[in-house]
Amino acid sequence: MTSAAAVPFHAGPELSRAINRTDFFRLLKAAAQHYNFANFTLARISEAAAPFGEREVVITNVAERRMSLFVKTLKEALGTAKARTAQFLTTPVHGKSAAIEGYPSDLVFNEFSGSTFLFIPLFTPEGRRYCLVLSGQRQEPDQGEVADVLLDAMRIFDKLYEEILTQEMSGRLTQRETEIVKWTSEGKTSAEIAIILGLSEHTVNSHITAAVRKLDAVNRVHMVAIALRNGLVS
Amino acid sequence: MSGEDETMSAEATRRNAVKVLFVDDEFIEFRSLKKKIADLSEPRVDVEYSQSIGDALDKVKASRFDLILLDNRLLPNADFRETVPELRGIGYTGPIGVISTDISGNYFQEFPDYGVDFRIGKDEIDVQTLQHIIREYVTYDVPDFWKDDYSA
Repeated sequence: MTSAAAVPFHAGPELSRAINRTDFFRLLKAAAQHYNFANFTLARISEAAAPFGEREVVITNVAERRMSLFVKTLKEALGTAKARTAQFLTTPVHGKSAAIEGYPSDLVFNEFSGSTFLFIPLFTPEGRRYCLVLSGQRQEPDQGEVADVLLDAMRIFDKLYEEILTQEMSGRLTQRETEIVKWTSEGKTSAEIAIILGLSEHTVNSHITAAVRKLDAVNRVHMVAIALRNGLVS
Repeated sequence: MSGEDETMSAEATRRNAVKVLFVDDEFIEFRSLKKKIADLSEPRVDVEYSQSIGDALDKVKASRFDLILLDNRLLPNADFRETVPELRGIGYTGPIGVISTDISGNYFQEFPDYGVDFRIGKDEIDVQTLQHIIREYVTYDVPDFWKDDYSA
C-alpha cells in the first residue's frame, strides 16, 4: 500500500492528531463505517452489570435513549454465557441477534435486531478493562477481518489512553486546571471563569470535573479546600 | 416569574430546540448543512446563518445560541485564531466548533488554547456527528453536587 489515499481516515494522520473526545468520536465513527458497521460504543467493562451499563459508556454514536436496547441486543447476539463472561475475555467475539420475523424492517421497534455485533476487549497498561462494540446489518466478520478491526481498535484506544485516560488517572493538575481552581478559589462561577479565560463554560466545567477527581474532592468547595491545604493555590 | 421558573423555562427551551449559528462566507455551505441535517429531529435544531464574523458578533450579542459552528477561513483572511477570541471577547461562553475542508494544518493542534471546543472536517458533519456534538457540549449534565454551590 503506497498511496496515502489508500490509508483509511481512522488509521491516517488524524489518529496522531487526536486530542479530545470529539476527535476520538470522529476516528471511531470512521473506523466503524470502514468496516460497514453502523454503530459503535466504547465502554468500561462493568463487573456489576457485565459487559457494561449506560454509566460505563465512554464514547458512542448510539442515541442515549437507545443505549439500554443496544446493550440488551448485544447480550442476546453474543449469547448469555459470552455476555456474562465478557469481563474475562481477551480476544474478540461476535454474534448476530435474531431478526424479528414477519414485520417490515422499518417498522420494527428494535433497530438493532438482526444486527451483527463485534465485541473487542481492550486493556490499559494498568489492566483496566474496556471494550469496543460494533454493530450493523452485515454478515459476521471472518477471522482476517476481526484481526484488522482489532488492530485498528487497539491503535485508536492506545491514543485515547495516551491523550485522555492517563490524564484522568494522573493526580497532578495541569496548568489550565490549576488556573481554573485558582479562579474558583476567588469565588468565580464557571461562566465567569469562561469569560475571564476566553473559553467555553463546557471547557471550564471539564477542567473542574478533572480537578475534583484528581484531588479526590466531593464538590467544588471541597476541591478548593484541598487545593489550599496542599498549597496548589495561595 | 421567579428565578427558578426562569431557569426551568430556559431548560425547557433548550430541550425543545438547540439554536445553532453557522458562520461561513459561502451561503451554499449553509444550504448543504441544512440538507445534511434535515432528518435530525432528536433534538430539534434551529440553524441560523452568518456570512461574516461581524454579522456573527451582532447576532450573538442580540440572541442566545447554544452552539456556534464556524468556518475556519473567513474573508478577508482570518482563521480561528483571530475569529474565536473575538466571539469570546464579547462574552460568548457556549461551545464553538471550527469546521473546515482541511483541518490538517499544524496550527489546528492549538485549538483549545484559542477557546475552540472541537474541530471537524466539513465532509464529516452529518446527523450522528451533530447529535454527538450536542450531547457532548450542549445538553451535557453537570453533577448537581458540584455546581456553583458556594455562590447560591
